[in-house]
Amino acid sequence: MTAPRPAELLGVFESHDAFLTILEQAGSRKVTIREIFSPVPDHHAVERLAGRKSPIRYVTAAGGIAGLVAGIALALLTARVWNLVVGGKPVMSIVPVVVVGFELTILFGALATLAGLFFFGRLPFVRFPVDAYREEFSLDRFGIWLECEASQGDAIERWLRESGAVRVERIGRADAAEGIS
Amino acid sequence: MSMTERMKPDIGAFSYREVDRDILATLGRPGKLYLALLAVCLFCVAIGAVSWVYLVLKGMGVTGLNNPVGWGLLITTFVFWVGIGHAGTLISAILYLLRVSWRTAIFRAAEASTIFAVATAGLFPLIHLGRLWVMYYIMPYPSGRELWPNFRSPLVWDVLAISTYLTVSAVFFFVGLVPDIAAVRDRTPPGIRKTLLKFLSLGWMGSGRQWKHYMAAYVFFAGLATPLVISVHSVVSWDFAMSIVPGWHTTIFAPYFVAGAILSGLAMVLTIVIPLRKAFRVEHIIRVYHLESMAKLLLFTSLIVGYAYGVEFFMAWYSGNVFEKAIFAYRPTGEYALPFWTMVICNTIVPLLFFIRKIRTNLITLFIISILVNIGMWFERYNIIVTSLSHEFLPHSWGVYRISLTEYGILIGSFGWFFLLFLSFIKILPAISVAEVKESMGFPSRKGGRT
Repeated sequence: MTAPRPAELLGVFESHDAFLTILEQAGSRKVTIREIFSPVPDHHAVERLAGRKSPIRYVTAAGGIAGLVAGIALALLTARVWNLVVGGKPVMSIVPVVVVGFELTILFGALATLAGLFFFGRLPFVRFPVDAYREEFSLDRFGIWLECEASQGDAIERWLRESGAVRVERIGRADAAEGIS
Repeated sequence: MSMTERMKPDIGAFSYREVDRDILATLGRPGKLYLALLAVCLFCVAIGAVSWVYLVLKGMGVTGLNNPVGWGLLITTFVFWVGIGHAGTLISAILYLLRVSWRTAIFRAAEASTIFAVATAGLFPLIHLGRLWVMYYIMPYPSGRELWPNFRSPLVWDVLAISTYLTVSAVFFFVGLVPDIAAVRDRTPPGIRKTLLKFLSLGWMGSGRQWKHYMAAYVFFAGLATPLVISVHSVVSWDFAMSIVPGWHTTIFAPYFVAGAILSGLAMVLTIVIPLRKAFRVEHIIRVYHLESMAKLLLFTSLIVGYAYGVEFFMAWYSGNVFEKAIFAYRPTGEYALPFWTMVICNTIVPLLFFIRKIRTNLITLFIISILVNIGMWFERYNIIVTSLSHEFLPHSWGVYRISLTEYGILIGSFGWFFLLFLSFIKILPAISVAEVKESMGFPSRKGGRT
């Protein structure tokens, strides 16, 4: 016999504090938060949901270091290929190495950050829109997409409404987008 | 809305929905004035294009360049536009890291101005080349001739600095736009426009995962862009300061250029934003408080620039170097005295009026002063570049530069090009950040207020 399909609910909130309350209490209610939606950058929600820092910083650092090495190599090796003293400056001068190294550090660091954002943020998100997404989430509503045991569905729906959700919807399992929790 | 109300930094009692409505209304059907301005810009671009084609066909002889003045209006305008491109990243990156709240309403317009100004600036070295089809010689690529750019030349640093600045600013700009493109997408009826916006928004949903990495990346972009703002105009200044030309060969050039760039950039942002907020009826979002804050920053950078002007003269006298003394005696009294005094008055004397609160909070005086600073900053670049080359070491090699009609045509074209890009942008995507303005308002709470 197969286990009953878990219930998926979408709680839509007008007020941010009600939305945060749900995030705080979700653990004690034995529900899994599949995803949250917010119209604004929301440090509070992201911190409560996923305490770990974004690993983008490592990608940025790697890009920056690669850029520095590339810049130094570019300035030095090209000078070696064209081994002419110009304007009285030594072939291997320090200043060009610093300038070119600096510029490529920034360039590679920024491009690596962009790549990191795309990779970890799963952008471009080709399966847009997921079933739980509502256009009001880019306007003025906060959303929580929850998963719970089928038998608990009604109780969780009641809990969401009592906690301040302006609307609660049942979501199908047609898409397979992953949450951050 | 009363004056006192408009002076407050906080947007007040508006809801997210109202902010969204008011900002996205700026993307509505363009009015007659907008179309007329667009036509003027197109006409200016046509003048510039014809002038450039004429220059390419006839050669650099159609410019006023001569021996000794090998850099004239084209390089002046290049430096001017690079400078204009500084305020955007200053406002969006540096002020973001410093958590300066007044940047929120204006940073998008400032960033757009940066991108379009740098894109305009980038054309000028190509125009100045004359034979622009050999421009790829300056790029570091492995050619069969085994010739590489000479990285000991500051001109090559400049190529790297400007292209890095344009790339990083464009990435920063685009990443900042993504949540807003999603907001526009969700408010757009189905059709080609919506499909295009879906593509551009990268499937943004404002999900926890997306915001988490977005916020982290945004801080890093700001952190990387900050030293870049300082470095770009420093590198541009080294185009001059690394040479031995009197009036150029000075260590003050890098900070002097950076301060001047921020001054001119802020002035251009004011010139753009003041009519923009009126035309789009977003005075409740871009408030007098924001403009006043920019005016204060403009005043501060103007004082730095004024100090640099003074120090240049002092050092020429104090060094005892006859060539330095000669060039600094020549600038205010010689053939180029008019550009010199225009520069001094517009950049250092006129902005002092911003010490008076009534003047810096009056939109008409703000607008007029911002235009005067723009004019002054163009003349600053002209004054630095042309006078020094005109009056180098030996009297027999001195010469005077006169701007030709072709160069004036290209100058007009560059302004047309910049404003054409800007006008197009403000009707395609929001010129004010929807997500960040909402964030600055605080979160809506159950009790009706904001947290």
